[in-house]
Amino acid sequence: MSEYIPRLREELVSAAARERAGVRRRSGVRLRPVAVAVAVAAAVAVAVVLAVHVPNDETTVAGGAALTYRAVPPGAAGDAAAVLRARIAAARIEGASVTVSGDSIGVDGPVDQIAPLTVPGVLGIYDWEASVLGPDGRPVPRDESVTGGVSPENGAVSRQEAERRASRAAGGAHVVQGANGWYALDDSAAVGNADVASAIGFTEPAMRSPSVAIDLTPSGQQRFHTLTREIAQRGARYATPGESPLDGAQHLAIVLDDRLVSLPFIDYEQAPDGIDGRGGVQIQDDMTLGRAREIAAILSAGPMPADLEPQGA
Amino acid sequence: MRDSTDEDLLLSGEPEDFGHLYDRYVRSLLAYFQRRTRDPEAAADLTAETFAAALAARGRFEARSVPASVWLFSIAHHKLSDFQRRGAAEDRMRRRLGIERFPLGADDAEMIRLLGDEVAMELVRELPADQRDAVRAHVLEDRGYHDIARELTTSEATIRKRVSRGLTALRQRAGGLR
Repeated sequence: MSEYIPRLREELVSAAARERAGVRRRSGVRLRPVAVAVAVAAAVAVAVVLAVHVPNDETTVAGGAALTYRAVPPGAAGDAAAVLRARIAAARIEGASVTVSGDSIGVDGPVDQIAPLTVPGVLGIYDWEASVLGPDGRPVPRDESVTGGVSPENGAVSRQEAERRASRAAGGAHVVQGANGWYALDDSAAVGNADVASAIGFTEPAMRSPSVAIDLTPSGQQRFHTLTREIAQRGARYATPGESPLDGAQHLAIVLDDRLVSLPFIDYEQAPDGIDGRGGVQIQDDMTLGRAREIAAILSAGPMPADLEPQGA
Repeated sequence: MRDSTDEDLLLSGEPEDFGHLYDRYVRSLLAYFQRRTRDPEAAADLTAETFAAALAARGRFEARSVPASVWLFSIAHHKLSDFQRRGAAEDRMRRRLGIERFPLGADDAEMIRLLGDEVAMELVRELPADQRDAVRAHVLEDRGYHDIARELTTSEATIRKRVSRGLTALRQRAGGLR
């Protein structure tokens, strides 16, 4: 029997399901209906209730801690340990303990599960074309050699070139890594950690792939709506008569730490006024359910207030 | 779903309805592209790109202007023209919609050759009835051996033999299908 015919059918029906959900995406993000967002919020509540208790001892380093981190800057270890505990709880990792002594944080338990939770966890959602920097350190939204046009990942450069572009930016800028290479982005994230109300990692039934569902705070919802409206309106302004909206659509970028997680586009015909942030944001990338839960735990507990430098066992 | 018109399926917005529309036309499109490219790989790519483009643009389809089938084949014609100009099938819509490209297996390539080869189709008609029905059902209509065997009240092994013999006869008569 043909494998090709049913497989292509499956791909098309899945794509149609994504279309119906409201946002077309490349590798990553779509909006969820409000009803789903409510369900996800309820699921988050359940996850918190079921989370395994994590010791709350901030006073001493347990003897023989499996891993030790030094918190930088000095004096931030207590706050950093609190965030790490919250991430461990959100990830439902059992048998973990986090202890503090001076600027050191000791971690005991399943360290292979805990170590990925020590990252900064800084989230940024950007207007891609307005934020990715060209050779002179400025955004050039209509230059496809910089933005990548319909395939934004094609605008990737070497890390060295991305750092050079970032260094030329008049304001703040940083470099991020995507699947094809590196990019320089200005520090203009429209939505960040403070806008996250909750996050959960789960397997999306329609897509049958692990996802991270993020619910936004009311102000985050407003920011997201504004961001996507601006992107949609720019797409409409740049549209060429007779061209498919898929060709002229502009993108938003989701960045976690220095990783470009996703580059979905906004269809200005389907969403001329942008996307209602009440539906939240859903990240889908090529990841395992475990990784989705890690990301959700990191986003739920917020960014790490210190750099955690591994010191060994 | 059998009673739904093509236009209903295209415009309903239900993902599975688009799947039903796909079921109706996928073989016709594969045949259309195969006849014009003589390349099963290209035919498969062009078919996928045509359906992806139709999915992306269905919101702009106007049911009263042309039938959905005409609209679908006008997209196909456009994709074919582009292929002939560029020498390769574009994949822009598939990438846009996140539709994965996967390699074509040998069985699928043969099925597409058969669909597109008018000589082969004629030869299929000339096969002994039992082989003809088995080849049509399994290769061209993509039905499983078990399903065919049940309909014809015989065993799966018998259907497998009929398909195998039918394909062998086709290869011999056509001097080896390309």
